[in-house]
Amino acid sequence: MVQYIARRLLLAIPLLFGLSILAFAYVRVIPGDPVTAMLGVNSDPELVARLRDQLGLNEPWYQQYTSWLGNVVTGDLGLSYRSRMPVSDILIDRIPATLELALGGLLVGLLIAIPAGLYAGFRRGGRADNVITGATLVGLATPGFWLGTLLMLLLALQLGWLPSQGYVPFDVDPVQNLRLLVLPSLTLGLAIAPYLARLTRTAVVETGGEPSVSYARAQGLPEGTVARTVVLRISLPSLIVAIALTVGFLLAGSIIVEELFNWPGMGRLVAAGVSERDYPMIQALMLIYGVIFIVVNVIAEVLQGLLDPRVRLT
Amino acid sequence: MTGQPLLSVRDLAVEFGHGAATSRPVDGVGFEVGEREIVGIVGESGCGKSLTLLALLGLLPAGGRVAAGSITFGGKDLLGAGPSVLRSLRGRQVALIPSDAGAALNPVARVGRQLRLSLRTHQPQLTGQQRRGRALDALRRARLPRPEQALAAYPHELSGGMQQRSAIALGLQNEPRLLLADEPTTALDVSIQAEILKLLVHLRDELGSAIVFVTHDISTVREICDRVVVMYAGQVVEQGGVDEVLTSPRHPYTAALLGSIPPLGGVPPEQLETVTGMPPDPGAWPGGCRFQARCRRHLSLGEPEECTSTWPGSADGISVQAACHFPLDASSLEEVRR
Amino acid sequence: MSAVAVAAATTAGPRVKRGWKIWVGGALLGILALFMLVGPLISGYDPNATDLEARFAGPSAQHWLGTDDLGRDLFTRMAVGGRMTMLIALGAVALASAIAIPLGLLTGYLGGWVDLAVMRVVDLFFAIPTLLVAIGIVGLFGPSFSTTLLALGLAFWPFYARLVRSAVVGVRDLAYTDAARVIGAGPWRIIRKEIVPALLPLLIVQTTVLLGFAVLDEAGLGFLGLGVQPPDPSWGALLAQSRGFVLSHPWIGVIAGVPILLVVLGINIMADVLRDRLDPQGAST
Ligand SMILES: Nc1ncnc2c1ncn2[C@@H]1O[C@H](COP(=O)(O)OP(=O)(O)OP(=O)(O)O)[C@@H](O)[C@H]1O
Ligand code: SF4
Ligand SMILES: [Mg+2]
Repeated sequence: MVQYIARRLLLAIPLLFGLSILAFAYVRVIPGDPVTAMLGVNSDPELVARLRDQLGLNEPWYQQYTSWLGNVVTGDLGLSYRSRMPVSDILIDRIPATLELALGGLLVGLLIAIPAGLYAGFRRGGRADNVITGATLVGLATPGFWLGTLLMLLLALQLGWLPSQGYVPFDVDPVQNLRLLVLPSLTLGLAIAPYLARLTRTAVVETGGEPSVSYARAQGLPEGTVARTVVLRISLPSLIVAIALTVGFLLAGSIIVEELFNWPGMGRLVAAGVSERDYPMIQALMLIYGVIFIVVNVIAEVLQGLLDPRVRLT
Repeated sequence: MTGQPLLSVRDLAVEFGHGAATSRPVDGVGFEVGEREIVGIVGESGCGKSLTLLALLGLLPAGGRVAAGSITFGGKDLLGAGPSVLRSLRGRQVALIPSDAGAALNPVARVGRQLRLSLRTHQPQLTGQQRRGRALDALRRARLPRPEQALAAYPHELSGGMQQRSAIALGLQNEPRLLLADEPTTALDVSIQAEILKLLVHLRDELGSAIVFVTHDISTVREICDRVVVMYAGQVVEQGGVDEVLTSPRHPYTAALLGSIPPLGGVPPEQLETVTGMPPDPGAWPGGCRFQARCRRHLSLGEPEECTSTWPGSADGISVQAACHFPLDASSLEEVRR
Repeated sequence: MSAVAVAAATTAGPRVKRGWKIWVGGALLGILALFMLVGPLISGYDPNATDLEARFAGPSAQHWLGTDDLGRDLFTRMAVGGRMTMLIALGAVALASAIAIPLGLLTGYLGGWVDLAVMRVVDLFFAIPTLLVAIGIVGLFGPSFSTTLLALGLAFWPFYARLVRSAVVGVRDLAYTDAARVIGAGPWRIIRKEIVPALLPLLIVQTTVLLGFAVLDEAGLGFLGLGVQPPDPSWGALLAQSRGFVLSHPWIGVIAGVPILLVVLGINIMADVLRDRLDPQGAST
């Protein structure tokens, strides 16, 4: 098992490496000169030259890359063009809010999707399956921000049950923090639930055809036991991995949900960064979102190995 | 057979689909199994052997249904029984031995846990300690070389033969009255096959369980079975004592099957005879005798009318020994064999 | 032989549903296409003509869906915006296919280090959310109609390429390709004559699925203000615009999402129908 985990971690390294190259290259492919992009076209040539030197833009690219990577590894992500503050300082402030929202959304999504997917999968072809599959189809077609808008209008403005938008840190006012979390995480959860439900249903249906399942029935085990100890137990490890692969949807969703509900996470930096051409910021965001994805997937694979003895061999 | 048989199947039919798409892969199967008896079921691939077993367990695949017939086990009518009655029989009184234990055992549970789960379901009065003891005991009886280790192993950590023995242990630990073995040795090496067969016979002697043994292999039938049921195209075409049926078959299909195996103790012929042609489709059974299109006897008799017009068997599938209008006798058998 | 019976027996149920689906999906797409193509002609308004007298008008006989903050006719803007969105989506899918299909065919067919290298790049794209990739590309070129198209196309190709590749690997080793190779057919000929026809159902279904995603992501980019820029309408741009007054005039934000939902639903239903028809294995679940 230790060996298995070590191998999973090793496999993540080239991916992280590739990610760093991509992020590095991103800033190099900006049309035109990055310094001009930063300072504007009509800026003092002397200032431009100084900044070029300061940014190391006069060195060959591989030297630029290694020194940049060295900085990144030590937590130095450069200065934001916009605010002139270290990007890492800005991000550190924003990450907790994004993680809180992502976890909240994932929790809501799983709470809706797993039971629905299991139910539909076990009662395949039945009325409940048709209803759930139909809802999934509609859910997949629903734009998340539109759904969020509707929820906000209904639950906050019409019914007044919840505050419509904003954020209070958890350590300042836990109750208000959670109240403010409800709408965004409900939106995000509903947006990803159709994907999760579909994955869950597929996993159950596929496992349901395995010989192990009919053999378990032939042993006279009660249906509930068959569902739990055989169908669910066999599909769970690969289901976890499949769900981890949808973390991209979750993160993309969080960018939009943060925007919609004025949630001060990293996602709000994305649109702002692009509109203001704050390239070090965009670069850092790519890195962070990529690292989150890779870490989540490594964790999922380790879980898979813990839950499925066959996987550990590979 | 004396007194009530343990299992009695009459005129069993299994259907799939509706309307024009209806198929009837099992269509009028009947046979009986006495206490402690080993009954072989043979026939070509697709003739309905597995479906017959699954119908007995009440576990037909989705879309399948018993369309006619009766199944009586230990004096109880199984077709009328509700799902909970069937479930309490499965694994307790009737145990299935799968053909590929490696695929059938739960891959993510240790063997010991699978044994205990079945014990807990069927013998809830046992304590945890007792269950552990019983599980170990079952593995010993199935002759697993290192039963303690097997208890703690996942199925994929065991060899094919050990997997099959584990499945047999699962089947025997509740001391069922009937074992249903669907080609229990096909997934195994030849040397291990023989051991598993010996084990099954031994279990019958020790536990007194009757066994229904499905196989493609007539030589196995000859070795371990008391009686044999020959199926063709969803029906029973011949049945009787093994010696009788295998030495002097009366149905041309049985004779053809026998021609396709090496004679007992004799030198194998250059090339084994195979039954030429394909069996008919279960969605469109032909009228009359279903073997007619492939029957040499039919040909040699000058294609008599009866073979195409009327079904030569009996309604319940049991009362006729060979479902043929022109059963073979000693001389005609010689002729078919040539 | 019996496989026919089995197939017939198992498809009897779904066939009923399939008929139902094709009508609903077709009706949705048909009505929306009609709306986009003829809507602006019958409404009689210029989508960008402002009328400050009639700001934020509700639905009425003059303005069927009301007007926006500048008094522009919403019905017309939604119809014209739909054209824009669909053009972007179709263009993005075409671009993604143009990259992904040849690349997937080649890597799947050749295998070896080419395959390895390209698939590692694809893995990378999996690690960054698609929307973020698209946003990054918008960051390079500035938001506009053509950037949106380019950004979505470039964000989508990796998913598609991987799918094509694994499908190619699936059919590559089938006996008939070997036979073709023995006869001496070159790789292009084998790809063209043997592999592409076997893959066609999958390609058709996946392109359709991708189209749905493209519509949703155009709207997502628009919502963030990174899509088609004012005054031109697109469904994403309309949503971005509506955000400014969603609390005081929620109607516009509510109605602007409806055609997106309906079009994507129609596309997804059609993708299901196509999958059932063309790619029965893929439809099994
Ligand atoms: N789920 C199903 N749906 C429809 N028809 C089926 C189904 N399962 C089996 N059949 C039909 O029943 C026939 C008999 O199947 P069965 O599995 O009983 O054959 P068998 O005698 O056990 O063959 P084998 O020796 O290959 O195991 C098959 O040929 C097939 O046509
Ligand atoms: S009834 Fe006729 S066709 Fe059928 S087995 Fe007998 S001889 Fe052959
Ligand atoms: Mg079988």
